[in-house]
Amino acid sequence: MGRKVVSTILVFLLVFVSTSVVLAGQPKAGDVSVDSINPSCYIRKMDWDQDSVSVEKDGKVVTLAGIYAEVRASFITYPCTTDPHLTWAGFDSGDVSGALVPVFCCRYYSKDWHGASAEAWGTGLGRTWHAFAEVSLG
Amino acid sequence: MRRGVLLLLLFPLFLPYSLGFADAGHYVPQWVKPGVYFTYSAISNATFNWTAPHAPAVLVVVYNVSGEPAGIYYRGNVVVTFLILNVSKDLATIELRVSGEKAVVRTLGNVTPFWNEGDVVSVDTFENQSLVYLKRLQLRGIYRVNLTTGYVYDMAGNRYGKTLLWYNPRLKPGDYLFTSPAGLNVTLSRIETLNETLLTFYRPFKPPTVILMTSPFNVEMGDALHVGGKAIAFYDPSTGFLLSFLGVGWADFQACGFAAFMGSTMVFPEGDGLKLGGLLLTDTNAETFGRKVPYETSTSPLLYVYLLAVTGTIVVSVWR
Repeated sequence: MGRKVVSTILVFLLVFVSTSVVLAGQPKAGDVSVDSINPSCYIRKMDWDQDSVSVEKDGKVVTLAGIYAEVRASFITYPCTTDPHLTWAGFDSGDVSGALVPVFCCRYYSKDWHGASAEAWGTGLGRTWHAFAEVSLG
Repeated sequence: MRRGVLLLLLFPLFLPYSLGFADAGHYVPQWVKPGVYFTYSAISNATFNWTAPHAPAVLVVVYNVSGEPAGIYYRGNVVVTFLILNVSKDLATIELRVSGEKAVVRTLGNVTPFWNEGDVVSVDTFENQSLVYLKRLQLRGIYRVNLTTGYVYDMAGNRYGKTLLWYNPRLKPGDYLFTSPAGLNVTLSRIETLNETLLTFYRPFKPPTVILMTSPFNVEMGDALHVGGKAIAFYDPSTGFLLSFLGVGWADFQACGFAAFMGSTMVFPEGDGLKLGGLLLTDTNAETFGRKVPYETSTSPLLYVYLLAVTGTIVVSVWR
């Protein structure tokens, strides 16, 4: 009898404590704090595109010309928000590093809540160069 | 008496300078006449979903609508037309028309719609930013070019810079071209003469051909759209035709409200020659408006006839 009472009390206490811990971890509506956001709510994405020409010369690969476009972005998503969106974006573009002939002309960078993109154009060596990089939540 | 006759005969030689037309010999091709047009195209080769929020474009512009900028991404084929409406004394009035398919308009805050509501496919909004997806979009502007100086003006008389529309052989590196929206003086950074045929949709242009490059500059539309780099114009010097334009912008576009005007065809004409980027010459009726060799006042045969006549008269009057 005494043992059963003690066991019941112990099981009750165990269930009570574990339930309290789980409930305490649940977010409350209207009480969202950035500090308490689950790290898994963040998505980081990156895209890179290159348009270049490389040739082999004396056993080495030489890049004659080319351009690139790059975009990096962070998004916040479920369950930390009911409205997933882009929180940050960084861009880059230009002539490919080490290219013997610069061909980069111009570029644009765009961003909105869906994502971000970079598009670049160049001209030279008798042709047009184009690179496009894009990230979005999908 | 002789001195008086001499001065009278010499006076016409200095007339342009006395009237303040020191640059009276600004290059103006013979085809600058009402009714002459040039069309430029950017053709898309895309197989992507054009209604995706981020996708490649063939033309990106920043268009000022009543002081509010809008970013426009043309993802389908685009045709840009310059039509000379009128030439009066030293002013040419030119219409710039941009017609394209599959356009996405990015607006910040309230922008008065400048599109046809019947062309709206969908509208997507988040906070103060909107994306308007359009089946097609046509934009139009009118501006003026002073043929004496080559400067571009909007219809309110505001000056923007040197015209893009024809080749000016007198430009040299360092010359001022136009001012960026941020107030930066954009200058001619480089001139290159190519011994290559340039391919356009209209026809190939044999060498020599000329490339002009500007100094770099940026155009920003809030935090949502940044356009930057240089501008490159390709010309045929024998006709003065602009063959292609690739770059951030130019005075002619600014005068029509386009702070940035950047794009490139993704489909190219076939043939032996260089495949230019940019908005590529597609059609013109300028070749039916006179000789291919451009007229230039400083090298006109009539000028030499005039100078010989004046010199002869002076010599005769002095010897008598």
